[in-house]
This record gives sequence, C-alpha cells and structure tokens, in this order.
Amino acid sequence: MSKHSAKSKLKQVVSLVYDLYSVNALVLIAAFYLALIPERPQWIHQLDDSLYTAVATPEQISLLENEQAIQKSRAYDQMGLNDIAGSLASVFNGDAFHFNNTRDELSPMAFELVERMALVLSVLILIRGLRRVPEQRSLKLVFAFACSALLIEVVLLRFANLWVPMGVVSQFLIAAYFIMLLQLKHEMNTHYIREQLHNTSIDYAREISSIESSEKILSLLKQCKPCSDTYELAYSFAQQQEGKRLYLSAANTYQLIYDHEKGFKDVAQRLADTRAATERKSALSQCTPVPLEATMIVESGVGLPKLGRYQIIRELGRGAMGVVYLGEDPKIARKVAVKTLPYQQFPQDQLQELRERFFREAKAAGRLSHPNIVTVYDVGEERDLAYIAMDYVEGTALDTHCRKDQLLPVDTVYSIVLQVAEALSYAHQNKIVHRDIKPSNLLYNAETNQVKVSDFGIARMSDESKTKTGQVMGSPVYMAPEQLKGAKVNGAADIFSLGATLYQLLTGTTPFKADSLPELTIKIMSKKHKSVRELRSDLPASAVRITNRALHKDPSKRFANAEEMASQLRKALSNDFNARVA
Amino acid sequence: MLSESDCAIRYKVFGLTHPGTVRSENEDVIDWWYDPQCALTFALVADGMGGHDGGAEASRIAADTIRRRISSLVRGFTGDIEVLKKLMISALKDANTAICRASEAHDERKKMGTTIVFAAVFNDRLVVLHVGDSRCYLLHPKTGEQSQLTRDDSVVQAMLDEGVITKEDVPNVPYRNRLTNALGMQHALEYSLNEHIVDQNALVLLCSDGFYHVVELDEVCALLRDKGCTQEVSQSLLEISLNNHTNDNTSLVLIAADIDTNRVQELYT
Repeated sequence: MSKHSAKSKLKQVVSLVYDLYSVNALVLIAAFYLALIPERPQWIHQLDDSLYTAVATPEQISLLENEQAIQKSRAYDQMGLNDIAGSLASVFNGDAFHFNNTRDELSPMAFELVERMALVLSVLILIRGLRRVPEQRSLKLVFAFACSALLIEVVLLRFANLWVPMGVVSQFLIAAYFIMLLQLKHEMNTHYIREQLHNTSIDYAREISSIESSEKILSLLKQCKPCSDTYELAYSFAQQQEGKRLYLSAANTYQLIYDHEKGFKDVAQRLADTRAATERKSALSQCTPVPLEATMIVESGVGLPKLGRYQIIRELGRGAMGVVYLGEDPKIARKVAVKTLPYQQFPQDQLQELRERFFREAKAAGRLSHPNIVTVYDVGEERDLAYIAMDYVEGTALDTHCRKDQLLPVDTVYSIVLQVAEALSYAHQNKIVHRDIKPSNLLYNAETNQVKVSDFGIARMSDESKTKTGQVMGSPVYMAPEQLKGAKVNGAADIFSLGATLYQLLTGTTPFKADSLPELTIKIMSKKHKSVRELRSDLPASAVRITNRALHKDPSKRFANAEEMASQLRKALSNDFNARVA
Repeated sequence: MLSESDCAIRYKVFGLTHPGTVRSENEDVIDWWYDPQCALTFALVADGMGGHDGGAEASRIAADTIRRRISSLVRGFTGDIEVLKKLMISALKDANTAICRASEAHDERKKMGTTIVFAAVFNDRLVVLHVGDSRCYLLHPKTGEQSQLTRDDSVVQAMLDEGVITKEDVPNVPYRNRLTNALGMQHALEYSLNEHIVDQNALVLLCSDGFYHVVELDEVCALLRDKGCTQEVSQSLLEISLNNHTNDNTSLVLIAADIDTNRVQELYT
C-alpha cells in the first residue's frame, strides 16, 4: 500500500517537473545561480573591466591594477604557495601602499547585493513582460535598458567617481532575451491558433446551444479559453440544461466553470445542487416502481425543471405510460397537466412509428373543444420523451368510486355517464375514437358535478408495442370484443367501454371477471355479463336496459351512436329521478 | 450400454438463427448435439424475452443449463423412452430454476423469460418438450403432410381454441404477443410433453415465432421435397423469412434421418 502511494507520489513529482520545465524556468534558474554564487567567473566581468580601463582616471586605474594583483596572489594561494610569496609578489609589483584598495572602494554601500537583486528582478520582469510587448518593441526595450545601464556605469565612474558595474546584468539580460525569444515565437503561433479556436468555438457553441446535444456543447466549451465570456456562456447553457432536467450535463458544465473559477456567480452552490439532483434521479430510476408519494421534489436551489416551455411544479400521478406532472405555462401563468411518454419503455425499432402515431393522434385530439373533454394545448418532444400538455382539471379520476363501499348515488352516476356520452358524441362526429374509456380516464369534480374525458387517442399507445413480456400491461377489462379481436374500431367500441364503466360505477364490479388474460378476453368476447340488478337489486330498470344495450357483443346492436345513449340517460334521469333533476 | 443393433437410425441436424430485419439483437438461441454413446440426438430453440438484455440472457441460460444437465443425466440411458422423458423434464426444470434465480438476482431483469422447444430423437421416436410459443412441426415433404406437435402457450391460442377469433384475426389482436406461460416466469413450471413416431422420410422442424409467422409451411415442404434436407435448404428457409421482413428474431432447426449414412451402415452390417 505504502509502496503504491510512494510510487504515485513520485509520479506526481515527475509530472510536476515536466509541467514546470520550460525555457523561462531555465533562465530563471541561471539568474538565481548567478545571483547566489559568491564569486563569479572572471570572464563574466570582462565587459565591465574593458569599460573601466577605457574611461578610468589614472588613480582609478591603479585600483584596478591593485585588484588584479590581489587576484593573482589568490591564484598563487590556490596553487599552494604561501601567503608570503604572494605578498612578495605584490611588493615587487610596487603597489604595496595600496594593497588593500580595490574598486570596491568606489562602489556605493551594499551595491553588490543590489546588483544581484537587479539581476533576478530584471529576469522576472522579462518573463512576465515579454509576452505583453510586441516582438520588435521588446527587442528595442531590452537593448535600450542594457545600453543605458552601461552608459550610467560609465558616466558615474567618470564624473561621480562611483563604480557601479552593470555589465553582468546587461549581458545576461540580452542573452536571456534571445533565448526566450525562441520559445516566445513558438508560443505566439500557438496562442494565435488558440485564440482563433476560442472565438470559433464560443460562437459555434452559442449558435447551437439550443439545438445540439450537451456532449457537443461541453466539448466546445472545453476548447474555449477560460475567460468570463466562456463562463457566461457555460453558465447560461448549464441553466438551460438544468431546466430540461438534464442534471448530469448541467453539473458537468458547472464543474467546468468551477474548475477554473470557484467564485463565478453562485456556481459552487449550483454545482452542489445539480450533483445532488443527479444522485436523486439515478436513485429514483433504480427503484421502479416508485410509489406515488415519492414525487419529484423541486428544491429552491435547482432551477425548476422544464418540459418544453412548461415549468414542472410537481408530480400528479403515474399512468400506464409515464408520469403526469402539474406544470405551468409561464407565458400566460396557466396551470397545465403534462403527460409524459418516456421512450425507453419501447423497443428502439418501433420508436419512430410510435412517435409518429403519438403526435398524429395528439394533434387530432387537440382539435376537440368540448366542456366535457380535457383540452389538449400542446404536444412536444424532449430528448428521451414525448409530452402532451393539457388542461389541468380539478377533481379526481372516477376509479376512486368504483369500489362497492364508495359508489356514487345512482342519479349522479347517470349524469356523469350522460356527460361522457355527450363528449363522445361530439368526438365521434369529429371522427375521433377514444379507444380507452374507463373510470381512470374520467376526471370528476364533485363540487361542480362536471366530468371531463381525458386521453383522447393517446391512451392505447403502450398496448400496441410488440414486446413479449408475458405480463399484462394494460388490462382489457373495458375493451370491446371487436377491439380484442383486433378489428378496426369505431365509436361503438367507446360505447361498449362506457357501458362497462357505467356497470362498474353502479355495481362496484366490472361486467367481466377472470383470473387470466386469455380467460378474460374470451369472456368479454363470448360470455354474457350478469345483469346489474342481479348484483344490486335497488337499481332502476333503466340501468339494466342501458348497460345491456351498451355491452352488446355485436357493435351494430349497441346504441347507434353516443347521442342515442345520451338521450336514453337523459330520459332515465327525468323519469327515474324526476324530483332531483332540474 | 446400447448394443449396435439398438441404434439403427442416424440423424442429421441443420440450424440457423438471425436477428431478423428489424431487431438489432438476437434473443433466440438454437443448439443441437449428438450423444454417441446413447445414440441420442437433441435439439432446441429458445426465444428469450424481457428488457435490458434479459431476453438474450434467459434463452442462453436455458440452452446452457439443458445441455449441461442432459450430458450428465444421459449416462444412465439404456434405450427406455420413459427414462429419456424423465431426464429431459429434469433438465428443463433445472433451466427454469436457473432463470428464476438469475432474474431474482437482477432487478432490471425481473421480467426475463424464454420460450423453449426441446426435442430428442432416438431411432424412430421423437420426444418434444415445450413451453411458450416456439413450435415443433413434423413434416412429410413427399406427401406434403404437416402436423404441429406443440400448442402455443399464448393468449391468441387460447382465443383461437375458444373460437372467439379466427386465424385471420391473429395478426391484429392487441394481445397477440402475450404468452400465458414461459420458462423463468414461475418456479412451478408447466410444460407440455409428447412423443411421436418419425419415419425415415419425415422431418422435424423446430422454429421460433419470427420464422413461422412469415414462412408458409407449404413452401418449407416444397423446398425440402425438391432439394432434400441440407445446409443450403436451411439457409434458403432463413432467407425466405428475412425476405418476408420478419420483425422478430428468426430461428430454425431441421432434424432429418441421415439416409445415406444409414444405407452405408446397412451395407456393412
């Protein structure tokens, strides 16, 4: 374990060294080296010395000679001769009086320290500044600086009797400049290309951000250089993704900003929120079926999820196909129910056909406008689902009144079924068959006593899919015999289903019951149902009449149309419940 | 041990499977093998179902388990057909248990299962074990006689049996793809088993629904009559199903008496 960590540390160090390795680093190291060694090699002072001999007064020259003598004596020392020999040599040289006087006397206090600092500083300035100055100007600047340093050196020596050798700094600066220029030229090219890439990427990303896939945008954003423009674009894109509930891609985009600038707007908070949302979402998808209580929690931190232009507020329930959400159309502040059809439940090869059918039928349903039909406002499609936005109806589905202990009064049932029959009559006249009339598709508002039929056309989507799961997905309890046979259905099938619904609302039980799907289908197609009065003796004769007629196996023997059924119900209401019907 | 005279007829088997023209994955599995010691020829077709690769997984488990179990159980076989039936059933039950376990282990494969038609031939006897809607046919190409040896475990079949729909309605019935029974659906397995006599001119065809939904049996018989039972013919049959745009995986296995080999044997004995 420890061996492993040591190895990885070594790897880190190696990669760090690799990262730091550059011409600039080398130059900096050389500058530090020159600044820190106590004695520089003699040749490096050649320029200073030449300048000195050129302009010095005789007195100053003697100082130089003195110095050279000392150096010579030191050289002797190093050769192993004793001090005396060295001194003797100086004596013979005839400079014994000035033995200790060197050029250092002429230098201002702590000049050596200042010079060493200047060396490092000038290189640092070069590294930082070179990039910002255009090439030709930098050449001029560096030469001007070097020459003026040397000029000052000469002028000070001549006129102020001060010795400030700047030769080393000037030479080093020029040498370093030329070396660094090599890398800079290279870098300039890369920089130019990168700038171009940034500009194109950011423009392209901006243009396609509303249509293209998130992976593409993300990879484009990665090509952009980290600057506020990029962050701004990434941020708005991430918000957009968040709105579409694509938390993972939003989180990745926020991460991109966060990696470069932690303090950009509220990116840290948003990153945390979206990450949490991703985890929640994946947790949710793992434990299907999700109980109804586990509604999608919309937290304040995360932008409200969106389907198309509809802001999702909460989950209303789950149908056979997908989740139904309560949403809001922000443009007109209208509450809508958004029904989703997730594509993942269908085999890939049937998706195209299914989508086309879904949109075709939803559009057809959108043309219907009737007080007892849930209005369809809009259909749309997101990456992985289709959705349909419809009128949000206050009330409950009638399947809550299908159990024996929760039945509605008979006259209420009659008036509900009457409204549905009227709605069906209108729809059939418009050549639209519902195909899945059942209590859970009828939304009833007890306060207004109004019922609305939902899911025109789209209800039977999932049953057509050719998956062979062996499980019963949608039950055929309310389906008409001819529907089970696979024949082309017309309004009569809806009348049968409405008859079965009426049967159940009156008795609390469906007309056909069986333990298995084949048994059930066979019963619906060939067996007679029990009369409603056998199950509930207090029902009026009209209940038997109407259910039997609607549930006739032969479509041609049912009510000729929904309007006929409606008129029968109307008649029954006034005859049987005269006192209570207005 | 079986004596030489006990194994009079040799069989040849040809089988092919294909994902079909619509699906990208093949959830069908076909397999056949010959047990030389017992002179038994086995063949099976399994059609898997269930999302998240569950279908392919289930049919694979079924085929693997059956083959493994048979090879260990068959050693005690002495030519008694009743024993053969018992060991085939035992292998099938093991396969069912294996699939049930596998589907319980993976949440996303809960609904996985497979159909199976599993046949064994010994001399002139054919034993067929069957669950689901894959089929076994006995064909007499020369006379054009065809008989379906298995009855589909499907809603459609139940409706047909009751007479509430006719054969013409089948392609339109909303629940046409619903099975009433499959391997891996419940621990207590229900299966059908039957035994038949196969004469030397007869042919056994095992196939999945992707094949029999689109290929007419008359066509199969005609082809077999004209060209005999060969690899090329099985290839042409598969091509017919593909040309007829089968929307499901298509598989077939043909078993026929190897008349040439049998004649050679007769000459030498």
